[in-house]
Amino acid sequence: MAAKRKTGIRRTKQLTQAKSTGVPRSEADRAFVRRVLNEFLERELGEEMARVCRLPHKERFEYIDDMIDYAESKGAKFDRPATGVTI
Amino acid sequence: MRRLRGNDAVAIGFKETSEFFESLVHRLRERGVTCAITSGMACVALGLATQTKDCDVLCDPSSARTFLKVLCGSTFQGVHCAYRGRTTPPCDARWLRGGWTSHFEWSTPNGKLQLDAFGVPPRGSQSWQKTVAGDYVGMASLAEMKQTDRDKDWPFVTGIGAKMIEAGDARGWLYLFDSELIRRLASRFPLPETIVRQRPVLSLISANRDLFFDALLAEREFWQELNRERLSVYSAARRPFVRELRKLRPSGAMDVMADHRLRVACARDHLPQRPIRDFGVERIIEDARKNVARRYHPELLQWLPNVRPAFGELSN
Repeated sequence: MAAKRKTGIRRTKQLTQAKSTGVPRSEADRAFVRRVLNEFLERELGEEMARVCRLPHKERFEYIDDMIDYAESKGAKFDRPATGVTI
Repeated sequence: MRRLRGNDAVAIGFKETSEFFESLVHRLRERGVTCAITSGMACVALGLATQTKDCDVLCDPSSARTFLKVLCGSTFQGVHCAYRGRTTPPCDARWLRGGWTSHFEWSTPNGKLQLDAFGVPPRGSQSWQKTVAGDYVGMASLAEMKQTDRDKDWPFVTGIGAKMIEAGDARGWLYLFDSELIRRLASRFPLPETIVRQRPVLSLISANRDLFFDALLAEREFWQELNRERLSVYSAARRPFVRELRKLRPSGAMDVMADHRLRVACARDHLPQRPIRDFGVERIIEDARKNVARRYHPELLQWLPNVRPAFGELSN
């Protein structure tokens, strides 16, 4: 029990620090954030949409363009209700 | 290659739509209007792909008159702008300041282009006007706007939070809702105590995994409940206006300025300008907490954040 508590205290020190900035400082750190985010997006949105997220701006917009175009050709509706308030 | 529709009309594409709205924002800014594209289109621009076609634009309420004039003068495929929906609130500073949204459309033979304009971003705890990046709203305001009651929006909240951290903005920690992602990032960039103070649930990061996971879920549910309560306040406040405008306004198309004058005249008597202030922010928060307590262990409520700043402008 005592050992377990000690591990817990050490872990708290690792994951929170008063003087930490909480943000990356090097390119390697930023690459780490991108990798973690990509794994998250693959889990949440699927591999294909995670890949689209990584596309350059122009290609990403073109992909969404084609996706909506295809959905509309199959009868999907993108009309939104006019309720006077934004969700 | 764009697909042809049954009547040989060419469907309006997302690229065409986004280019039109970007040029509209440029025209508005040339006229001195502070505005920015937000929601789905801003997510796509940020690198978070989502299926979206319409545009949400934040417009400083003090510029509402100029905003409407520019919309009146803008055409898409030769078609002029019109109010969308017979009972949409008017695009007027008095109601935009209270959190109302005005809906517009360009209805072409090829389809409709839709625009929602509002002056106060939902859950906006900071001045969005100061954080505009290019044509788009800043990441913190965008993350707050995505904290809706729809499950599908939440991966984007976390995505934006991670993008903020990557960009060196520690406030990104306030928008991460995935326990695994939070733990992994914190293992490399320890959480600053200032952030933990702002978001109590993060103090559980070293606690039992299940507790941290459940507390994050409860926090998300709290935001969703707050939004449901907020929407119900607006829905109730709008009813008299909808009833009266249906009587007054003809059902067909109308010139947008004539339509606007009619809506303002009706809103003066039947649409409250500040429904959230009138209802009471504390009531909304209390009701949301009660609803969360029904579904989650009451102990988890102690880690819910202070959400009063999210109603800042609307509660005055």
